[in-house]
Amino acid sequence: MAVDSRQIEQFIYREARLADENAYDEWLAMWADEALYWVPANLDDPDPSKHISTIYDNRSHLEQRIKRLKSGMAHAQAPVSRMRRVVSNIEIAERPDGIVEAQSNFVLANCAAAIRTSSSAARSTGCGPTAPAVTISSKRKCCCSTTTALSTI
Amino acid sequence: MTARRKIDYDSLVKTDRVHSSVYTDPEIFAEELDAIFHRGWVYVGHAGEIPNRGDYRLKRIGRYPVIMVRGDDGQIRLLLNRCRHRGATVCQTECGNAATFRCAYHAWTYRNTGQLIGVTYEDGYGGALNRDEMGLTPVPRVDEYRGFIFGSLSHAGITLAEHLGKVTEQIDLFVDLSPAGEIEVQAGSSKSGYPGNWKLQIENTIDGYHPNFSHETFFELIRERTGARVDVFTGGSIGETRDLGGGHVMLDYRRYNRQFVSQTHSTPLRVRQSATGTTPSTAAQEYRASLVARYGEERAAEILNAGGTHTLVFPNMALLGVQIRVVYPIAVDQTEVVLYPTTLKDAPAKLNQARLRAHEDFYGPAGFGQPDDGELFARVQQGIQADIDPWMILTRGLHRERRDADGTLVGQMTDEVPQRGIWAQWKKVMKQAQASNEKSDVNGRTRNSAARMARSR
Repeated sequence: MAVDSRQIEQFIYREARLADENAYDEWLAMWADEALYWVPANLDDPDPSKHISTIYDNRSHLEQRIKRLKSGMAHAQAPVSRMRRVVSNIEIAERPDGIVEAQSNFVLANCAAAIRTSSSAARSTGCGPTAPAVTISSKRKCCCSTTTALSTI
Repeated sequence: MTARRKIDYDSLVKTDRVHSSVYTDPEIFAEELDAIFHRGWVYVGHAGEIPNRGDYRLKRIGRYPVIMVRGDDGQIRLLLNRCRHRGATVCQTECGNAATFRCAYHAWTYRNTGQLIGVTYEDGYGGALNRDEMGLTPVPRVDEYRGFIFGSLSHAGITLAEHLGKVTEQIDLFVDLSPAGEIEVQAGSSKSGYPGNWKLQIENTIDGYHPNFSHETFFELIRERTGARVDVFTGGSIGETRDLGGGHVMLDYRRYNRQFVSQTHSTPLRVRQSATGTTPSTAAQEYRASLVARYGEERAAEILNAGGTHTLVFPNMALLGVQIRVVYPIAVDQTEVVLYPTTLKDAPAKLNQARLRAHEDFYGPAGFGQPDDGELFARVQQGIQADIDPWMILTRGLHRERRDADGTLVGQMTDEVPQRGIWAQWKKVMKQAQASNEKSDVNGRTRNSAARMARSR
């Protein structure tokens, strides 16, 4: 099956928008059951069994992350950060097993709370099966700088 | 030169309260760096970060950039990261392995022992340059305990053993969780910063009053995962706080753990440390057996019960569960915190992996707890700009604290015994430095500067 680049791009933009809007449930629904959301720490591609990660979430942990954010008691996100994720340089490749790998750059802008304004540039790699519907099975987000933005998704 | 205002520390720090200017006054911050960080013993790093000859890590002591390096002779040194020629840093990479450090400016080159081995166009100095005297300046005093490396920028003062006092017992319990009696510090670090004073993190690290409120969401998740209610931080908990003296203070979970360790009742601490819950039982049994083999039944039980209890080693380091926490003051309202999760030498791989996952769960910039603490430090720093009523209240548990047989001061888990202990030490150190500076001024000498002394040696 040929990859529909436009569909994948729209999927990535949608994911960014839902995260921007703190639409946690809709965002979570984009993930596959076998989800792995990985933000390595210190290095771009360390062995997570031996090296600390900033985020190393399976589906269950990701759900707990969302639940906590929605509780209103995640103080670093009360009030929620107003952010914009700017995604570019999207490269898409389909693997023989039907998994589509998409890489992109993104810049995260924290638009509120001037005293805590920060931004980070990062390279994000996500992939998932194209059929029947696109979901994210794994995502690796390599951050060039850690920010308060990591207190959300 | 204008005379500096003399800060009256007795009026700012009382037994039961502190004046909020101790968190906001840039002059006090400058004096803190001088008195606490540029004179006394400061935690720098762990030997486990640089296991091989040539391994180095960039560190800081107060404002001083420092290279912690294991030289080709096997010895660990703390070298000031400053070229002896015109002052540029000679090492920029956070960690690595190097035989030499070469300044990029005029290419003076130093061995990883600090020795100056290369001066470009050396004849231009007319033979007057003595290389032996121009090595990278070592931190004047360096000592270690169980691999924990401390430095003091002052040539004189109490020994590290005197500085650590009773807190070595807690360091032992943290390290002895390893069946080899050795921790590994090779799993990277989590870094974060917050717009607030450094002491907010120091005080929070051993604050047993805040978790049930600041971290309510985390304990709720623990309850959902394991069915366990975390009640060690309640007002009626049998857990304790303890002031070990010298500013070293702890949340003492031991009494609580002793009562509940054999039951299914679990705390995050138990899950992390006792090899139950998150690790398969075979690994847990294997681990426990290896501890018994090395330490005997009684000590092994004590290690599993007490190892990793939250302990602050004054002024800048803490042991919490699996991590070494280091606090770096950047400015009066800027702080950086670096967390080093540790693994246990000779422990099952699954257990060590569980330690890393447990660490990520709560700590680090995206953990379920640490970011909320940072947020609250920022809120404190904002709030205390309003200083009409400037006092921070530290009276909690003052009426019920008691002196134990070993001389330590004990309170209930939610009491402010640790905070009072930190402030007593802080005031003592600040006043000592002040007195020492006055003496120097009277003698007509320049203010005590450890760096000047080090260079003129």
